[in-house]
Amino acid sequence: MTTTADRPIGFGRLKRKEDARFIRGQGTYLDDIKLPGMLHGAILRSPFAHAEIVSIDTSRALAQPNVAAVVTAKDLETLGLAWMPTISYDTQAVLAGDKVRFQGQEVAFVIATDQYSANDALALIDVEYEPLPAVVNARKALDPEAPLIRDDKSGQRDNLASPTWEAGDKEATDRAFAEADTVVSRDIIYPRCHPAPLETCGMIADFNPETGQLDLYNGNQAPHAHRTVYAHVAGLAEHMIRIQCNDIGGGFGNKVPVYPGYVCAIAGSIVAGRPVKWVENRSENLMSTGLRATTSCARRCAPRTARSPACASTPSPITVLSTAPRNRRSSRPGSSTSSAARTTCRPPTCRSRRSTPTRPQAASPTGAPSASRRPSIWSSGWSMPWRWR
Amino acid sequence: MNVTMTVNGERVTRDVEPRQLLVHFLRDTLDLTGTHWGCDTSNCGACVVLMDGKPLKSCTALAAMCEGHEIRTVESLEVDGRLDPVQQGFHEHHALQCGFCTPGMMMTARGLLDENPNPTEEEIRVAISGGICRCTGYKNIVAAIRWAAENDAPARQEVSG
Amino acid sequence: MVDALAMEMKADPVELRMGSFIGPEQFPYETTTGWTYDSGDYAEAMRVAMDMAGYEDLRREQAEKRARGELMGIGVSFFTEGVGAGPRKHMDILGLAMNDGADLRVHGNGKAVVSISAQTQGQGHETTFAQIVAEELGIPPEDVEVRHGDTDRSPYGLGTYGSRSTPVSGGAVAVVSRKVRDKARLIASTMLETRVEDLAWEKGRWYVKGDPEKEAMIEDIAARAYSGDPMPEGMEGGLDAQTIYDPPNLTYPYGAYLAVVDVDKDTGHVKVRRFVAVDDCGVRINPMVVEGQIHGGLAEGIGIALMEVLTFDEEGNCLNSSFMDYLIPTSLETPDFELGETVTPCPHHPLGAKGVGESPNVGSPPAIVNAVIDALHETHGVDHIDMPCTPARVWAAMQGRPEPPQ
Repeated sequence: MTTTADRPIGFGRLKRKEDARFIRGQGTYLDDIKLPGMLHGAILRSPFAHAEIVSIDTSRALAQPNVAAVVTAKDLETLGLAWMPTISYDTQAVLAGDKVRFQGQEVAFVIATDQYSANDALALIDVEYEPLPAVVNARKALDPEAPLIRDDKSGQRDNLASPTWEAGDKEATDRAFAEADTVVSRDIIYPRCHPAPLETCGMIADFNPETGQLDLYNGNQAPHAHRTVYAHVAGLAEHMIRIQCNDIGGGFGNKVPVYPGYVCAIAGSIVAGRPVKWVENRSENLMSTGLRATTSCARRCAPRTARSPACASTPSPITVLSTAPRNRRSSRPGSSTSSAARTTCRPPTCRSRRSTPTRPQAASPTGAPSASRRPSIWSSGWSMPWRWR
Repeated sequence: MNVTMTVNGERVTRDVEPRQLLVHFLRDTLDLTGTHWGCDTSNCGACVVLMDGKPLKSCTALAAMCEGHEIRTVESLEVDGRLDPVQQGFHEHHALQCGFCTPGMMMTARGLLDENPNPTEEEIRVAISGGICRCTGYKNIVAAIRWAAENDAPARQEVSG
Repeated sequence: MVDALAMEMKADPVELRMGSFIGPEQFPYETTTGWTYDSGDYAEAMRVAMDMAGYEDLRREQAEKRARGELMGIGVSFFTEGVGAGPRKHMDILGLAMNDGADLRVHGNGKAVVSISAQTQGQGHETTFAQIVAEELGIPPEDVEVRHGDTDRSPYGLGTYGSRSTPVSGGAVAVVSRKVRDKARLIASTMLETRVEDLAWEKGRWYVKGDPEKEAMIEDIAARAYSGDPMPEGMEGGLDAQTIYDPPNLTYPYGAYLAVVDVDKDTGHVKVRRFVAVDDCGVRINPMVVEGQIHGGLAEGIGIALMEVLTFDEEGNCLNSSFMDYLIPTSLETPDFELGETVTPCPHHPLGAKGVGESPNVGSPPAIVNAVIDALHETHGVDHIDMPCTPARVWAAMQGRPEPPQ
């Protein structure tokens, strides 16, 4: 077995095997895939950051010859697909029903024979909005008089998306600062950036009504977790769902979440019995997808006399972590709650300062999870009053 | 409307919707999906092809505008199983990761080297500045194009001879 | 923050850090928040970075330029991050354990297929995970196919983000390869008619200690596993294994970064002239791939520090949802990155590796902002500036009218 510096057997500077297809332009990215009989989806998005939806009239769009369907929240409700779980133990509207909570929020989904007809039909959907005051600053969102964004959540009284927590020895920390010769403090804001991979998000959903198999083509960073979510949301067995990612044009966190367009494509394919493709454009990608939010830290820093880290920083009550949760509302204008701590990943010694946010009210579970168990997507705390037939 | 152009050395005639962009003509009508699209505003460069030997963002041209012109896409770089030095350079220098910007970058490089066979690093950086890469930070792309410049002439003679 | 402290104390930011680092002998280091940092020699990484940068020379150059009215800044950052989520006792997503599976099958012809749950979007998994199998079993990487991205053909896992591929999926592949190797040992003992304990491993073969010519190559062991010849008592045929890896801890890569910027005193434009990055991500499976990851993350950090921000007006209208106005660094905004490395293996990871994908993204914005402040502090009294440090924002700070953050 010979090995060279160029071709190590094991660790080393080995040139990439996957280059072969990419340098020939033969990668298979989502939009490269065409399936027989495929329909195309487009999303109507809210122009308002915060507004009641008074009415949605899809009749003119539906009357177009190339339009197969126009889906709204009402349609999804009958399928039990109006809301989906997020990775922050919250739920998110697939399509806005009662009101919109950020500019760009999904309001309707058009399915047509080609991309151009789908996009043209968006202009024919009439939505009447009643604008509401917006809040675009994470700190102002916590003011008592700030408009309540997630009024759909029972028990939600403010715009804080998730529990705050603290960890460490508060007394010793306060003492260290009190006794320090020098203390500096800064407000450090990480601007709201976007991962912006060069390939935007998209999905092809292909449901076979004869076999009940749901094939999904979707560049995402966590296909198995997505499969679990879809199984839960669509009421299908996991082994009847197959996700093929093929080649993905960059992720950087942008392709971690489940987006409404995905669920709409799945719903569309289940109803139509044909493949449905949805691919977002760049504006949609920047405006409505995650995961990188404004982060604000108020930190104090003092030198230590002993050889230990110089910064004993105490997170302030509104300290947030740098990765936004799946719940986009936690960092969207018009809905600016403080970005949530990653609730599923806290330091081992942390203590909650606030109880976890209320989970959506659902049908009575058949067996409540024990208090000591963390809630799981499979636990009855997540069950919704639906079942897809 | 009918449009006729040469794509990768082959004369093609198709009926196109007048508003169809060249990038979609290539991808959807001719099934040449190596050319990608990544933005709505002609900023990202994923769609770069060569038109009459010069780099063109194919999202800025209507298919109809290309009547009579010669278009080269990434699929034309490899000839008879031999990689273009640009392709080889990208592989040698790990100048691609997700591969999405790569066709556009390589066609830009091919256009640059056809006009300027020995570009400096600065010239290379200017030439590819119309394209965005989120993965590589550009350092390896620059090195790859330099490698291609140094290894181009013999290979090109072989291809054209 | 450390630079803010250094400014207040009139201390050198590098020296302040050097005097405050956790020492290598203090690892594993339990923090007051309960996380245990695995390994590190922080001071060494900083030293390497300063040597590469020529820190003293840079300070001299800065003084000379300052005397001529030119604004040059040097910014340093040092970071540690916890990646590779993660141990099931500490974390989950939606109640799903953040453990990753790996299935490895070596076929009778000696070639292998490893199925992983990590999902590449450019990180080079088809190469690097083949290299892990190659390292553990001695099968050439070109003979190891890496299967991923298809939920029907790959084991369950929580995917790729947060620099977790190598720490978790990489750990899984190492563990599953060792399971295969252990099975191969038993088969080899039958083939060589020797006791299991008399066998030693060298990449690609089991051989008899004291008689190294008596060997069983991995491809021959694989052939045996599928043949009709005798197998060890009670053992099934085939040469494969599967595992689900629960990492015992996060991994803690770290780095020492230095940025050199030039600020145009008339326009406030910031040019990153040099960027030195010394990363320690433990054992590097493929240094070329690691470096590529770092280059990309450093470019993203330049974007965060200097140009990227999504802005909204008071009514919540997004003002720049296109690449026309949401600016991403191009080849003109990024320098020729200078990379260095130290290698402090992770003690709990099967390969000694840590993740690296996010490290450059974490360390670069502070280094650049520190450099901008350093350029402007003495001459203009600037001690803080919010990101992104656009020309307008820098210029306003220079006039003593800093813009509030967006």
